[in-house]
Amino acid sequence: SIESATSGAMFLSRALQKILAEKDIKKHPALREACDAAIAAINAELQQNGGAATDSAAAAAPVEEIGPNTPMPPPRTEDQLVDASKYFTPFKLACEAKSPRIVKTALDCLQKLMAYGHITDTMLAEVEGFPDACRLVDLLVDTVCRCFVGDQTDEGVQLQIIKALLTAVTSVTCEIHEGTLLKAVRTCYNIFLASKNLINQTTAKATLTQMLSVIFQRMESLSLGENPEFNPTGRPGVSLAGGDRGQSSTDPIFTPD
Amino acid sequence: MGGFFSSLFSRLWGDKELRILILGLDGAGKTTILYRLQVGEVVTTIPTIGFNVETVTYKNLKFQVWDLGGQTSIRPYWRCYYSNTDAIIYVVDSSDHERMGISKTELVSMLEEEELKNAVLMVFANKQDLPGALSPAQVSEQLGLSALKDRTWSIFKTSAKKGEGLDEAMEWLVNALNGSQ
Ligand SMILES: Nc1nc2c(ncn2[C@@H]2O[C@H](COP(=O)(O)OP(=O)(O)OP(=O)(O)O)[C@@H](O)[C@H]2O)c(=O)[nH]1
Ligand SMILES: [Mg+2]
Ligand SMILES: [Mg+2]
Ligand SMILES: [Mg+2]
Ligand SMILES: [Mg+2]
Repeated sequence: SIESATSGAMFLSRALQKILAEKDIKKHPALREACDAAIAAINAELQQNGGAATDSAAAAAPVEEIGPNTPMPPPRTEDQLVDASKYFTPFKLACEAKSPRIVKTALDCLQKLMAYGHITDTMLAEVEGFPDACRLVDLLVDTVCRCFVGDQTDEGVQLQIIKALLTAVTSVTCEIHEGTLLKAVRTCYNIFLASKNLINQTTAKATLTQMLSVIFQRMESLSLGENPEFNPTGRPGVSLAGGDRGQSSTDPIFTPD
Repeated sequence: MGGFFSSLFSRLWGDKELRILILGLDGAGKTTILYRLQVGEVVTTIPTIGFNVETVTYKNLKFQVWDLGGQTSIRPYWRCYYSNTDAIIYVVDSSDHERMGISKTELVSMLEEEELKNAVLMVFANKQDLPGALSPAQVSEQLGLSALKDRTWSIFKTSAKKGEGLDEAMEWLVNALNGSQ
């Protein structure tokens, strides 16, 4: 059981080290500090879990020895998860950095965290300066979408945004709804419209096709009441600004905001 | 040799990153192959729902390699990615005897697409390390590869798990792409 928590922590640690290894990090002292602090906290957590001596040694190894990619095993149950929400701040800062290389690395990591099930429905965001606790996945998607700043956005960044948003929309471990879902679709559509890069246009179009069909499938299974938890009257009130923790897959998926 | 190939290659292709799509049924080993090519390691994979894309460098040449999901419900999206593709890696689980027919059907309908008319085809008879794996000749026969017309193609005996056969394939690809220019 420790193994999986360790792999999640290892993944985060490697991702942060990759960001630290970028040359442009010198221009972003706050980001560097946040990465260092998170790595230290992760190492402490690994040590507390015990039996992770070799892993924490590896976590401290230079990034060149770790290799450029960091896919990892999915967690088997919730209690084995590393709490990714505690370590979100450096990724948010990295996405806001004026360095395409740093932004690309951060987006790639966020996508893999989602794809491998390290971001779950119930995780709340604990981010300094962010007023109310909200679902981590809502903050994450918002952070990803903000990386697109029009057609002058770096083309590599555009591609990583598309990749991350497709994963967010198709994920079953961290379903997104309403305003967040709409934001994801709209950003993809904006990239399709605005991008001057042919590959990005094609990919955005492919991604939109897949996103929309997933959304329609969910709507259909909702209206057919296929889901055993379906309960049209007992649904809690829904807010657009996140805070919709505990929403099940039966909740409305796509309401205009 | 690498120097010769890469200089010849870049003269022909300029700085363009060549686009490779990895396709095949779910569980065939596509994602494992992508990361084998990129970092030379076996990584833990999960079924691909979206896409993976990584830059793979082989002998100083850069390829943008795309790995799509192979589950039945996701296969319809393959075609959205076809345009501007230089080469296809079609991965087959050589030990999955029952699904050779489905694998053939998907391959045939893919190759009918106009957008892939000029794409070079590499079939990977993967998972050769498993007992009961069909030989490349048997896989070729089951997929009906000998019937292919107007297509530069080849089949390779691979084990992504052991890292076997991938270098040979990349070597062949570089030559094939040079030849097709
Ligand atoms: N024995 C053996 N196993 C392999 C080989 N290549 C891949 N695998 C395993 O096959 C399983 C599926 O591999 P993936 O790379 O995830 O398959 P995929 O084609 O990407 O599957 P989808 O993403 O669902 O389309 C994993 O457990 C791999 O470790 C191989 O050459 N030999
Ligand atoms: Mg996979
Ligand atoms: Mg895959
Ligand atoms: Mg990458
Ligand atoms: Mg197969």
